[in-house]
Amino acid sequence: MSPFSALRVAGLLARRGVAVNISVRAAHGHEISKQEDMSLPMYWDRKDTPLPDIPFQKALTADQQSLKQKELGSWKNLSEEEKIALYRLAFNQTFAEMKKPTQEWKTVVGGVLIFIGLTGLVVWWQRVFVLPPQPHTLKEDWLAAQAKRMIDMRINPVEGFSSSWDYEKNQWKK
Amino acid sequence: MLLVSGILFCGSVWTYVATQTGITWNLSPVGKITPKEWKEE
Repeated sequence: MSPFSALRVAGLLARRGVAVNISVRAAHGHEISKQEDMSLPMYWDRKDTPLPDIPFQKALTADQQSLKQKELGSWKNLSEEEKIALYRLAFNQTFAEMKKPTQEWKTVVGGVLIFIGLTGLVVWWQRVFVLPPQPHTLKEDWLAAQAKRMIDMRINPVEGFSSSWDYEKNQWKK
Repeated sequence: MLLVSGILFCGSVWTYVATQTGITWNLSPVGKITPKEWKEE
């Protein structure tokens, strides 16, 4: 199998989310759903493969067969409904139907946010049961005294901490 | 629907955790902390 077609099949499988596993089938015996024979050409609705390997409907009724016969003649003789019927025999979805946006992203983002929310609960639990008591150096008045000392020492006066302090008005710069 | 419930759940949990649980975020004192005299006379 050339690398290109192997990649293509992998890509198709990844997009469809289909996991066809022959060994699984053998282990379970008769399956309820019929599995496709992956060694034969398959029909896919894909924007980048506008003409699939096989038509959508392979087994035709008598009516459909007579329509296919009519198709062999001049197409001017076909009515609108017949043309559409022939299209639907060959293709499953139109390009417009293929391109239609799904609402999948909402499900994905919602799921992600729920798990992040669960993480928040975990953090809360950790705060209650794991973290040690806060050091006294993080209390309000300690931080206030610390800030005043840093300002008095002119810590980072050019672009840093003390540069945000207005020494004339004795307050933080607005 | 999952999106809305996800936003509400995540938002409410993290707002609570960030503000009410006493976790120190060690935010910058600039503009927030009013400096207080530290020298002991």
